[in-house]
Amino acid sequence: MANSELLPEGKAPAFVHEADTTPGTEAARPWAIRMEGISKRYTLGEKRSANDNFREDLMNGLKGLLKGKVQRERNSFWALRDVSLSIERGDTVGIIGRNGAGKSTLLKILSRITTPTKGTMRYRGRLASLLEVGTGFHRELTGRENIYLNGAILGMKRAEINAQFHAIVAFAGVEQFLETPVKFYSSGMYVRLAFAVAAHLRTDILVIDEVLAVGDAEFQKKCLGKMQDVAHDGRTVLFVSHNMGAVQALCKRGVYLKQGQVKAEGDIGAVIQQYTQTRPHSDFSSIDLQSKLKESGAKPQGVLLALEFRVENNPTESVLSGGELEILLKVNSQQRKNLKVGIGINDSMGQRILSLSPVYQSPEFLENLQGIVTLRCSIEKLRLMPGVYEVLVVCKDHSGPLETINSALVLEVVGTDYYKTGVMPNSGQGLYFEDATWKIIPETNEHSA
Amino acid sequence: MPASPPDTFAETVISSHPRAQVLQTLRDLWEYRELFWAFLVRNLRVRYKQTALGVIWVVLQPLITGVVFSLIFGLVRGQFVDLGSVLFFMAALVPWTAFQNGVQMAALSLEQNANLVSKVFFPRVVVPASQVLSTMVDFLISFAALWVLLLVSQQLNPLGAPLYLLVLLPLLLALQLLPTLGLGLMLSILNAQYRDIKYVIPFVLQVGLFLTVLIPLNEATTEGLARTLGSTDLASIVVALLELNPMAGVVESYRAVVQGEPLPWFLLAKGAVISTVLMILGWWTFSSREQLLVDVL
Repeated sequence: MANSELLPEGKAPAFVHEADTTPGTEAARPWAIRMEGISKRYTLGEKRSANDNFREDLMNGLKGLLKGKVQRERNSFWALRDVSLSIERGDTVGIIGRNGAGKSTLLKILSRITTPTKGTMRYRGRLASLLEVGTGFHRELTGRENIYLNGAILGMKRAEINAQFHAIVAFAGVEQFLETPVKFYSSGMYVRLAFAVAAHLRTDILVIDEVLAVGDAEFQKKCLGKMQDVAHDGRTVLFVSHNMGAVQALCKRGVYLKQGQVKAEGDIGAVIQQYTQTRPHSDFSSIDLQSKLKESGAKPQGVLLALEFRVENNPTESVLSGGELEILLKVNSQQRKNLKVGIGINDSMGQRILSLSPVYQSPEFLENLQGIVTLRCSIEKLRLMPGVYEVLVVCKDHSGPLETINSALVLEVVGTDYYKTGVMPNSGQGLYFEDATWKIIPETNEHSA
Repeated sequence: MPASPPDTFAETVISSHPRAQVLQTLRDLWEYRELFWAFLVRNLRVRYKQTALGVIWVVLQPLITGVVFSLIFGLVRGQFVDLGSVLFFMAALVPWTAFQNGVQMAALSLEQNANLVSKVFFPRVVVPASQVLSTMVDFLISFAALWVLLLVSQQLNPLGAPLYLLVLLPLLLALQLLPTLGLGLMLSILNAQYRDIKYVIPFVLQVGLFLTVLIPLNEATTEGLARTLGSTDLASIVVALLELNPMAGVVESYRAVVQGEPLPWFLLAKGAVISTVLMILGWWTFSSREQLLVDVL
């Protein structure tokens, strides 16, 4: 690998892509991957119970023999429908989409783990995929043995691994533990070694899924640097991630999948924009709180009416961390005394992260409410870490609690390059971003006097 | 590194058409040939890591079973364990145990490696095939033990039976590998979808162990059966069924050498045919289901 050294310490990786100064030369590049009408059907309940399955398949087989056809169609759904893509050599392509959009299926077909039900895929050169760090590692084997095993699983030749062995060990920083079974490794060491093997794979096309989500910030930087090297080498990279910051940093082009189909394709910035504004002006995101109350079995009092999250005046359920956010809450004050409303944001573990209420900031704000009004809460820069959050809404008056809706909506905070430095903390490193200021205070020369 | 010129990039075609897949499969097998070795080494290493006796277990298993069998049958006949009868049982136990372990471990291999198989592409056949090959390595070790015992029992005369057995080994090895691999491939891919397989296999193989080791397919057995069943026709039907056992020819050959009898060539030929059929069937089952493996695993 000619360009294998890492980015210099202390210098953030360049997030600006080299400007396409000569767009004319781009057109002549050969394709690396071509998908034509790729569709994938899954039969529902295929994972039920093996015994049921066997009995059922036997019965279906018998029925099929009698009727002359096998009933396979019934409980099936299409995870991908007629996906056609052409990816040029040297492209770095980010594949984005919500859960269930078909990203994983596309990834599995691309990396040849499963085959399409319909359609053809062609690719040129060697393709390697990294869907999970450390696949093929065996706990009982030593670091050295695992390097060779994992390399072979990823399609490397023994000679190739020999040539890269020292680079792999140095990258992972496990020199002293080469003869130790990996079951005694710390999880950090384990992940570093696993990624190191994959990172030194010579391949023309690299398919990566969320590997950046592991390891500490320092290691993430290493990984990102490595992946950029791969991209700068003129090799093709396909990257699937929820972290828009990482996608934007690594990819020039984007593919946005929705319900198994390609919704948008092109420049990564434009595709991400489409993704975050994917539900313009639909009723879906404006939550009818009264019916939510009824669903939960509580008695609606008619105070909390509707809730909506907006970004740039578009209703949404996914926002960028570091981006702006508006929360609109429609209430009917009903001339209640001492009416108080609040919005809480819990993380996926049910832990309260944030409580928003006018009560804290301007206690008189709600005193003179008349009839139905909409309260608007504006947040200039959302500091939540990427993740999925649950939003709850409560209101009470002088007599006590009136209405509580525990999961009014689910808010997805999408990761970005919050500090605009290219270095991002991962989810294990706190709950929110803080815009702290750092200064170096020189040591005073008290001893030299 | 500058990008290579376009024509050096081999094109891979993944298609839903089965015909295009055959050629691709062969190309993949060649491309991943080194993976066989890596998996074989892994299987062997993992199997005996953290065991105090390590690979000695391979020798101990058929040896102890052979001694127990000869003890039981010796007691029935009123005589004590002698090397001859231990050798008689071991000659059948060594190849059968390898076959049994090979089939069983190959059958479970895809399920055990489900995480790997569903996360990274490589020719899936490597998983059960390397498992079978690793039991062949075990076999060679236990065979060496049998051979040493044979040498000892022949008063250390390396000519005669021990030499004969060594010359015959490649043929017997091939006839043992074929049905192990065939059944291993077939059962591994079926077990990926129908876990019933994994409950049936040990049972069937255990029955097979007793039938193969305890009932030598020779004249005496046929006559004994005819007397017990009261009919020569019935007896020959039972023997014909027992001869369907793909390992029958191999096991009887080892026994013949150990006992200084002529080789059962007809039985071996029959075994070769059955083994080849099993291998073709196994390969066909495997390759026709391989594509959907991850979706059902």
